[in-house]
Amino acid sequence: MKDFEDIASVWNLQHTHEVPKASDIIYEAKAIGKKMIRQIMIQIATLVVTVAVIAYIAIAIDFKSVWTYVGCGIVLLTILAFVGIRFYQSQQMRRIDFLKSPITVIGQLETYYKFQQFVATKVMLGYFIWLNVGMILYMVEVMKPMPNWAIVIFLIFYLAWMLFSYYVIGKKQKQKEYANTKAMIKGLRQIQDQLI
Amino acid sequence: MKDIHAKEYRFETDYAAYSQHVFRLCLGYVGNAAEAEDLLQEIFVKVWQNYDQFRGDSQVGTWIYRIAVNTCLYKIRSSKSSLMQTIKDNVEDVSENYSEKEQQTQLLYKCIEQLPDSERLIITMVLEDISYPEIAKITDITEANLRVKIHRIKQKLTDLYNRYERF
Repeated sequence: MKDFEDIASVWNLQHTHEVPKASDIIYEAKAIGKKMIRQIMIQIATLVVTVAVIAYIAIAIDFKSVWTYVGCGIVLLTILAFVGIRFYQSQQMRRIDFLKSPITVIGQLETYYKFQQFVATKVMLGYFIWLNVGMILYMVEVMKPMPNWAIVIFLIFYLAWMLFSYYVIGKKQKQKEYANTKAMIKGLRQIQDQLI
Repeated sequence: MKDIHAKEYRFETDYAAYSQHVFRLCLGYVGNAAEAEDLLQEIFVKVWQNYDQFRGDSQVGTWIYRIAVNTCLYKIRSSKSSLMQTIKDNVEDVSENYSEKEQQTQLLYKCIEQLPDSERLIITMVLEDISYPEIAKITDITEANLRVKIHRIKQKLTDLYNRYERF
C-alpha cells in the first residue's frame, strides 16, 4: 500500500520533457495575431462583395415591381444581420479573459455556449425563412418572362433543395451542434460546482 | 523595436522557468504528451499576448498558472471525449510499453485522469509543489476550502493508485 508521499515521489521521478523552443512559441504568437487580422479582412471583403453584388443587381436592372426591391432588401438585411451575429460570436469568444478567476472564465464560456445554442436554433431558422422570403419576392418578377412549365420546374427544384438542406442536412447538423453545446454547458456547470 | 526585444527576453526567461512545470500540469490534465504540448503552446501564446496586462500584483508564476488552469478548463470543449477512456484499457497499454519507472508515472497519469477536471488541476499543482496559498490565488478558492478539497483529492488519488497498481 502506497501513501500520498509515495505517489508524490513517483511524480518527481519524471524526466525532463522536451518542450518547444521559446522562439517557436513567439513566432506562433505573432503568426496568430497576423492570421486574426487576415481573417477579419477576408470577412469584411466577402461582406463588401456580397453587398455590392446585391446593390448592383437592384440598381442596374430596372425592375418594375417594388416587391423585387423589397426582396433584394430582405436578402441584404438578412445576410448583414447574420454576419453581424457571427462577428459578435467570434468577439464573444475572443473576449474570454484568461486572466480572471477560473469560475469567471467558466461563466463566460457558459454564456458563449448558451448564445451558440440560440444561434443554432432560433437564428438559423430565422435566417433560413427570411433569406427564402427575400429570394421568392425577387424571383416573382425575374421569372415572369419564363414559360409556365419552366417556372414550375424551377420552383419545384428550389423548394425541394431548400427543404432538403434544412430538414435533412441542416437538422442533423443542428442536432449534433445542440448536443455538443448541451454537453459543454453541462460539463462547465459541473466544473463550476467543483470550484465552489 | 527595443520594447519587442525586451518582451522577447522576458518571455524567454519566464518560459525557461515555467515551461516544464506547466507542461507537467497539462500532462496531468490531459494524460498524453502530444495534447499536453499543444496546450503548453496555447498557454504560452496567451502569456505572450497578455504581457501588457500583467500588473505585478502577484508573482509571474501565479499569473502564468492561472492562464494555464483557465486554458486547460477551456480545453474541455474540444477534447472531453479523448479524456474519457477507461482506466482498464490504459493500464493494459501502460504495462506493455514502458519500463518499471515509466510504468509507475504512466499509471499515475491515468489515475489523475480519473479525477474530475478541477481536481486534476489542483492535485497536479500540489504535486508540482506549488504552495497552498498560491493555488488558492490561482483557482480563487479560499485557502480553508482548498485544504479540505486537497485532503479529499489526495485520498481519492491514493485509493485509485493502490487499486490499479494491483492490475
